[in-house]
Amino acid sequence: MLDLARSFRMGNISPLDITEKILEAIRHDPLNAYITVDETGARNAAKKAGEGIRQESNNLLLGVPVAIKDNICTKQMATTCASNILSSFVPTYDAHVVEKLKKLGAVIVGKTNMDEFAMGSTTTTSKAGPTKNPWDLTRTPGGSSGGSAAAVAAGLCAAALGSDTGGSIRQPASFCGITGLKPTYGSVSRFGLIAFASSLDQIGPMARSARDVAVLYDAIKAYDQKDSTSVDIGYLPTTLDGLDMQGVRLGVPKAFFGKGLASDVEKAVKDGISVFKELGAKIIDIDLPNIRYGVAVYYIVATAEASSNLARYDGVRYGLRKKDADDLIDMYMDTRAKGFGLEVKRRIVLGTYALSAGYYDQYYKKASKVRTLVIEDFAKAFKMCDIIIGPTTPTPAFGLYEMAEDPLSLYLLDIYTIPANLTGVPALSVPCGFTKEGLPIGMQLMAPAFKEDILLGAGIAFQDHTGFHEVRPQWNMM
Amino acid sequence: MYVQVNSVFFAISMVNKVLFLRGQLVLNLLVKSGVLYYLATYHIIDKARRGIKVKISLSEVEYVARLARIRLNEEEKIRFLKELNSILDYMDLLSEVNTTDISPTTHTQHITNALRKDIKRPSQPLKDALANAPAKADDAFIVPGIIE
Repeated sequence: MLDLARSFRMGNISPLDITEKILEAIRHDPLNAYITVDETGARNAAKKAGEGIRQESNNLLLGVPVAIKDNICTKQMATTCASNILSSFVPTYDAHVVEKLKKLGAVIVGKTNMDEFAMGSTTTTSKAGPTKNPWDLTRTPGGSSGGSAAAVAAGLCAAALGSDTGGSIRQPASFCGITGLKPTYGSVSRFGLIAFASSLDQIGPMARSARDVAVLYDAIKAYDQKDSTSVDIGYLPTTLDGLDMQGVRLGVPKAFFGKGLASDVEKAVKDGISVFKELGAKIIDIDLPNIRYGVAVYYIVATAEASSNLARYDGVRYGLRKKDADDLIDMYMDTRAKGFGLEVKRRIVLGTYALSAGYYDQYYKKASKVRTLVIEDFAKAFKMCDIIIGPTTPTPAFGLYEMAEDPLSLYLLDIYTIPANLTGVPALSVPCGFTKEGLPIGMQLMAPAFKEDILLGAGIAFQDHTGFHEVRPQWNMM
Repeated sequence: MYVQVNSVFFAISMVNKVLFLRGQLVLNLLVKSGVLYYLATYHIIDKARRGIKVKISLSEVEYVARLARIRLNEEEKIRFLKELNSILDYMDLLSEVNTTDISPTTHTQHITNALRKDIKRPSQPLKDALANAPAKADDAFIVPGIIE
């Protein structure tokens, strides 16, 4: 993305040239990365950007082709959430983040594929069909922002926005060999993000390098009155120089290197930590005793919130309606039976159960209390270290439908990514190596709330000393 | 020779089709007769019989789905009965945590009263609000009758 901004200024390529190239590549895309492509809108934006490129030398996003996950509202452009229930939904307004990108003159190429309502980690529950991993077309790109990750990795856009509720930016970034940031809860407005679990959802940037991620993050972070959870602190631009790692304390949780971690992943992440050590970082063992409860807490809290958020899909104000129902209740029940896929139904039913009379204390309230303990673990750990470091996922990308039959085992794979959502802290996934089969591996860094500058600085420093983020997948548009 | 090979293939595919259809029929019968339900839920029924409480029963799955306003078909009910029981069994992990005197977290940022200034501003135009409605007339959404 930064290379592209430089090339625009040197006159090597114009925004329209690169946009045409990308649109052509998307027409032959074997990955199924996009649900909707806006050729006309992208061309117009690219033309307009081309005219201003010499005047606006500091606007690094001008003319840059960007993809948006299909759960982020785009005015006059279909936003389906990869669901039948929203297959005909065309928003009448832009999400706050989209508005910001348009103002900067970024070229919105289209809407990327995802798990239905962002509920999943494989991009196989999409009603638009699965997205494939550009490193191996028989494998999943991860999810739920799998379309965004695959598009970035394969060069079908320069950068993308995803959303992350339990790992949905970081896990696909890790599976596709790109860099992805889940920002601090409250630093990026959720206005126009179709809600899944409101206390956990965050929009975030995905790109090939930590520098690119930093530029896109700077473009979208802001206080927004229209999101009542938006935090009003003076947001400063991220420095792109890289953090001096001398004396920086890296906390390594024992719990992140336990049973279930693939040996290739363990080795790559440990080698990644050694790179930081060579740069002068101090490595400290830390203890996060309550993160073993993370998955259980998450799947109660997230499904409870989802059951409430998704109540709005009732066939009245937008989306699908099942016709010829006898009465209102039948209309609701038939519409939702037809409109939602299996995983969405499963989570709504589970969440409704966790909130229902007689079970509320046992499940939802208990989980909310254990969530407090996880937050306390992190607060204690951050007194001893500046960054918590470990693997992003226990395994590299698996087969497209390998995990389809057992929801619980799939949920358990979110173990490393969930804590950042429960605690609200920012987390970054950077490529740190490859398996024997050549699949990318991701390393996760977490910092205290609103310390994105440290995370991105460390990510930049790492990438200035390694080349993993520069390796391109087997399938890419070049 | 070609014709012969072709007809062999045809015969095989017909046999396959019949077998497949019969498979479908058997599956249908199994579902309708409740055999499949019985097999899928055997361990749950067995538990219930031995006086061990299961996490969620079939009637509870049906009840909760109705609360959530989702009509489940028979296959989905059986599936969810199994899967929700296994997921809820896993959630038991939380019972080992002592949470006495721990206050629950609902949000990680402690913002209270996020109110804007009390100044009049335009709301979404009616045309936009109705733009995606599956059924509308004049300035209203149309829904099935709720009064007899």
